[in-house]
Amino acid sequence: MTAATVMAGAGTGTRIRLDRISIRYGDFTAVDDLTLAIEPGEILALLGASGCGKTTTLKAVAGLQRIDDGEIRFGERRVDGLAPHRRNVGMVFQSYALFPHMTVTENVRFGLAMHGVPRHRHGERIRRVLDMLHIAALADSYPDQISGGQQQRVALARTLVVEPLVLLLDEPLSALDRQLRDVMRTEIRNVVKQTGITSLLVTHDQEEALTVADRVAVMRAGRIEQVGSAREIYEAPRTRYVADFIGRMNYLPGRVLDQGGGVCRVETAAGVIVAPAVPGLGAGQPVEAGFRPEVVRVDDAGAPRGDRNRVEARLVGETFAGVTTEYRFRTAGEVEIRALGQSDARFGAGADRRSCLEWPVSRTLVFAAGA
Amino acid sequence: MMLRLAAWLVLGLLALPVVTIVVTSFNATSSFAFPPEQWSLRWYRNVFDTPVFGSGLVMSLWLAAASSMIGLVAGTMTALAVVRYRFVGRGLVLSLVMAPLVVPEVVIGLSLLIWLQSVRWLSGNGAILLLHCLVVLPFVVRILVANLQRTDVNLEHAAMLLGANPVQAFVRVTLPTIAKGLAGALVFALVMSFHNFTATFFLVSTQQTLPVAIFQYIRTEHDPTIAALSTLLMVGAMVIVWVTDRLLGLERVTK
Repeated sequence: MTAATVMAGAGTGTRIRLDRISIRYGDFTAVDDLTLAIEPGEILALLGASGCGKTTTLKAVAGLQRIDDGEIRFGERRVDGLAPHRRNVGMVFQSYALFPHMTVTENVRFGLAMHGVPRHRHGERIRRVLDMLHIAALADSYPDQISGGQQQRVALARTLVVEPLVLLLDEPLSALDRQLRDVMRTEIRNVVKQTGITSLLVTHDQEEALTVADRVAVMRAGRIEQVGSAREIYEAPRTRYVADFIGRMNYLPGRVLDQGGGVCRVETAAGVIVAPAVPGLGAGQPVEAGFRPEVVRVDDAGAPRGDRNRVEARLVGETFAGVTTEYRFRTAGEVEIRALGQSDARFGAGADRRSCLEWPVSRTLVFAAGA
Repeated sequence: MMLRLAAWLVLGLLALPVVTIVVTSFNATSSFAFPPEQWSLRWYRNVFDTPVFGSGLVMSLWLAAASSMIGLVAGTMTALAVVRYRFVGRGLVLSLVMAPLVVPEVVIGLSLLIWLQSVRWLSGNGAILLLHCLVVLPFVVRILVANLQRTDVNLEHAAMLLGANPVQAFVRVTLPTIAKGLAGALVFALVMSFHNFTATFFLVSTQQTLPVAIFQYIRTEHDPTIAALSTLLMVGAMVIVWVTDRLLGLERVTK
């Protein structure tokens, strides 16, 4: 049984467009002139800290939140004036919101009944969607009799059975324990991808965003800071906020020496750092050179090379975390640099020993200070 | 040991009035002697021979049913408004609805009596019904506010996103999830209305309620008729409690 046959009626996905939407509560602007397009069949994650407006945006798409300005369209159809029950949007809530007085089957049947699907067709559709999510055995259970992971599957089944145009996932994994989360991440992505429903996922968990979604939009204070593939967001964050939100980053503060020949040279307390050129930066401007802990290597023997940055630092501490170990170094000027290494490959040596740290120029980023 | 003794003592104290009334009701003479020297059912006969008790019971049941239903509907709407929406004057609405809980019943009765004299269209029975609605409302609102606060708003949202219009979402999802609260509120309201004496006493005109009829009777007569009547009421109450428990216990409703 594939999801494609279950969702035969869903057809190809619908494009979702949010066009310059704003949502205000009194003086507070929760969503600020936000524009975003989600391509047909795509899973897009809205990633951000709590209070950044991501859930408000999701609710606006569902119709549970009015918008003050802008337009929301599903395909060509404008939907922002429609009541929630007329939008054909499916939503999986953080709390799952399963109806406690109904069995799993009755929960799944609810949407079919409300959509006016003839009763003789309910059984088949319910059976298929329960099979698809491997919960056929739970058909007659009540929500409080099944585990969190099973409730999650029921919530997904209840939403998918009505073949919604758009699927909204509000922090769908936050209530699960870690191991189950890993399983459900893959499961959700597979099921949603098979149905081809355009999906919007809201999460504050970067790992969830990177693994479930096709593209990630990082939100901050009601605006979108950057949209891109998981890899783009991770490897080429445009601002320090995005860089800090996804993964960790080392920063060496300094000033631009010069730009040219495709590179930007930054003068720091630890020496001159080279990075790919950044348009709009001028000589003397205060900046920060950033690089991820996992690109840093210790290389005491090697000679300086043009395509790698090299600084001297001394080891000040290490934290063992299973597969990896994090090493903390200090450079001249007392700037801390974190380096991530495989635990079995001894990275630095004894404390206070001086080492040469090096990392690729291509993995170095320059951010204007304060951005 | 001491604790167990104390427990039995308290239980005995609780049961004492009930036992006394039941035993006295079977006394053959018109005295309240305890225990009776001779037994009979004559006071039970007397209960049924006193028409004011019958009409009082009908009046009280009618009042309880009507005020509870009105109170339940109005109370549910009030609780929904207060819990689900944020609006100007929300706190004021809640305090006003809860006011009859703290305002002495004498004050409510008296105030309604004063109004009754100036508002002509409010007839005697209408005024009593209004009074009972006021008495019942705070209990209903309190129980349902607590119930609604414990239910997830997203249940309604989920229902709507599955295609239910607001009325369908309310009837098929919200109501069943607060069913136990509604049943509890209904029983509470029936009892509060049925019992009410103090405030009702101000407004009673030709048609007496049962508590008022009982009060009027013991002002003039001194015999165990009231004990017999009370015993009957207790048996009736126990049957109702048992039936509600069976019905609500069997039906699967949410916690």
